[in-house]
Amino acid sequence: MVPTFKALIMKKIFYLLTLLSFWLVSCQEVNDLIQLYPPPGVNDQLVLDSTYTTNNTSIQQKRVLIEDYTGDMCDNCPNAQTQSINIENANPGLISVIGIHCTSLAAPWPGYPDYRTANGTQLMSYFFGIGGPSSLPTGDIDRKIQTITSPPSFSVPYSIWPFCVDSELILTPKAGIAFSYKNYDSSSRTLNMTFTTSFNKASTDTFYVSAAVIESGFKGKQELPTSYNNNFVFEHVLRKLMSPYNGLKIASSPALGATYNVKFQTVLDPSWNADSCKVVAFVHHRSPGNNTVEQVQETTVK
Amino acid sequence: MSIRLLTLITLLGCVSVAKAQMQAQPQDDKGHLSGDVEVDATWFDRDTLIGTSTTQYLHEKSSTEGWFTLNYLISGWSFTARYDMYNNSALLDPTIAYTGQGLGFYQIDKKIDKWEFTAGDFYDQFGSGILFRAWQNRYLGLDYAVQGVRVQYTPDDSLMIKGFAGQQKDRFTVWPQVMKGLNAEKIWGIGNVGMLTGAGFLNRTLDQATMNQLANEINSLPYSQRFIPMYNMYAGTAYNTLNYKGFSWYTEYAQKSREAVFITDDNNNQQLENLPGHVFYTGASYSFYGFGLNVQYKSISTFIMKTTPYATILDGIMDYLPPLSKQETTRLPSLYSVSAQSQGENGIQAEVTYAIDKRNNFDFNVSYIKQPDNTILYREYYAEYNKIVSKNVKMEMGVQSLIYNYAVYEGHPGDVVHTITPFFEMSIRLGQPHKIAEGTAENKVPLQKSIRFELQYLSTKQDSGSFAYALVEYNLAPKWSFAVSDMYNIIPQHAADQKLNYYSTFISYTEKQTRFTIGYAKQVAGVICTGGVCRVEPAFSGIRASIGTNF
Repeated sequence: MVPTFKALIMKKIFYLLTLLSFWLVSCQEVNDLIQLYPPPGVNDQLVLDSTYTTNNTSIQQKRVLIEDYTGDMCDNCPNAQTQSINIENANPGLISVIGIHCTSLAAPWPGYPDYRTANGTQLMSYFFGIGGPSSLPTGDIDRKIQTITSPPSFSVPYSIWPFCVDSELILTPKAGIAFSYKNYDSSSRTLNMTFTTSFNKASTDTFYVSAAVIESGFKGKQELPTSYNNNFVFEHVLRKLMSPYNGLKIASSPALGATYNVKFQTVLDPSWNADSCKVVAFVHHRSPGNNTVEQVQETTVK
Repeated sequence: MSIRLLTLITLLGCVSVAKAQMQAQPQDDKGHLSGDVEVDATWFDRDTLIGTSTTQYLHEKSSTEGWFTLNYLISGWSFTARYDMYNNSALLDPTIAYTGQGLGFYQIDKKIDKWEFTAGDFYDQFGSGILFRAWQNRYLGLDYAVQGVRVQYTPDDSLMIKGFAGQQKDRFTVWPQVMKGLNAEKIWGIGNVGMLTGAGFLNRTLDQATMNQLANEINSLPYSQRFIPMYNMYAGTAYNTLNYKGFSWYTEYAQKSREAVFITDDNNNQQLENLPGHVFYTGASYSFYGFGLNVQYKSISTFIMKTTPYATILDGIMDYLPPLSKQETTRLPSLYSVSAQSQGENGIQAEVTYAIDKRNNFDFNVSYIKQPDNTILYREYYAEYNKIVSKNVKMEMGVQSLIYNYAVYEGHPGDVVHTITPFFEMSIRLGQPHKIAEGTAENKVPLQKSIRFELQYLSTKQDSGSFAYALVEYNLAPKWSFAVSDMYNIIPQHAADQKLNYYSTFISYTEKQTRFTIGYAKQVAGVICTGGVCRVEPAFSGIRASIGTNF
């Protein structure tokens, strides 16, 4: 049947309405009234407090960092979280995990908070490009390019995390980290902390430190493979970085025994449970092709 | 004040233009003037037993509301103006005594061939009103007129396109936010299947003062809950009605963009969030001889359409969400009425009517509404039997069973209410119907006597407990009506509570198109609903009088 002239006009009107809607919705607004993140300053910034050389050059047991890129609208991501917990249980005290909610698969469910953070998005963009990883869940082990995959890959599926972790645990770190001072004021929710990085081997590399606040044990809505869980318990969720997302430079060509005291002060958001928050600090490389984590340590906030 | 003067001058100017045009018309085209008047007065009689403690009982003691509407039609022009008056009125907000008067509505409308232009205030809606509806209900104190300009183009009977821009009225001023909309509808069909298909678009822009207020509030939130609020909210809808013989099917989907809205949690705390929203609504009806079936389904997700997030309760609403409950009219079955929850609900309603013959028919209704988290909001089972016993006697009986989420609908803590309400009604015409000879003067028409009884019993262990209700109404149609009723708290929820009577008397007198009513009433606190829009009202005790006419 040949459409009538009126039918064609009607069709065009609907197209125009649809186009108009898309055009208007896509309009970007400028609104600089909202302060989304804490202002830059001493707070939330790692500060290199002092450096000295020590004769105590003991070697720490290697601990491993797992960075789990995840999302609450990603149906397989709970499996990755379970995998990281299993690895922690299999290697007590030797694993630190940071869950980084990112991409549109971490968009908030209506009525639930957005677990994504500006720092997490910065990390995602730094390691994967602006669009982020091609799929979730994925993760890196000590920020190392894993050769078990073909081709070698920075991020690997959670199924092979245990193998990668085992390969890392047998290494000897060039530096150790120790928390030397911690004070948390519950009334102001202010955390003051100092940690020390000591090198047990001289190196010609440049080293950086990063520190993150993570929170575990809170409930929210999570997509599952065939359903949803409104009371899913999230673990290791990145809340903020106290360092620049790519680390604070502390040493170039450190000598044996070189020690660096790094301190920071941060205020915990009222919505976070300080009892369930931890600080994860790590010393790492930062150069094209090499962001390997040398050593990682963690401690509770309180 | 100067704006009102300017408006009046503009109206007078337009009338002059119309008059000039009228002079160009044939001499006998003097146009048509019509209108209506209503004045309501209330005297407040404090009754501490039923809890009347609003300001009018303590201080003002009386209130008055009045509306005077004039319409003038001539040569395709239409002029409408309405004068509103509120003196110590509890109508707009039962907790305050509001006083204000002035031009409550004015409109100039001109039809030119296939075009219609409107300036001033107007009422309108897109489709079912889910996306946009400007309307009023003066008995709930609601007036959602838009003040602005509207253009409608109707090239033929099957196509309509309209657009508008303006601001929603706020009593005698306007909300500072701006809205604009576009709507198109097309009637078409395939064979015996008729269709009405439509689409609509709405944009609302926040003013800078509201944005500053939002920014202050958001900046006081924890960083993890902060977001960038949008000045503009965009919303669209698509809808279709299909008709085939006795079958009719309506479907609508509406979506709105992310914006700052207040979400109320289980503890009645409000949290500012940045959320989009949507509504899906569909309803089908089928009738075949004495059988009728009507089924509706609706799903709402944070479809909060307000001109500003700071508009409270029933203020500033830009749309209309149809309720999925049977609209009860009698006292106790309507005691727990509901309105749609724009924050979120999923519901279904099915109603079956069946007429065995001309004298016997049944009506069954089931409604079930829950929150997105599956918390039950409302469930109704309803059965009614109507019988025409003879030419002079009609009766109706039935039973209603309800589950009603008191805390959500009434806005303060309370148990979920479970009720069972049997009801009975009988109307008896006294004497034979009069045969009125042609040319009989109205004041010579004999009055038709009738009497009507209502008996209802609401059984519940929650809220205020169980009630019994009886009403006797005596009519001398078409002039007089007298009614006496009592709603008796026969089993209070707490044994120590008094068994209170909420009695009322009512008289109405009608002379041609003018009606006068007066009554003394005691009314229990609760939800008052009209057309699915509800307001929680405090208890009432006092005299209400009203006079209304049209010309």
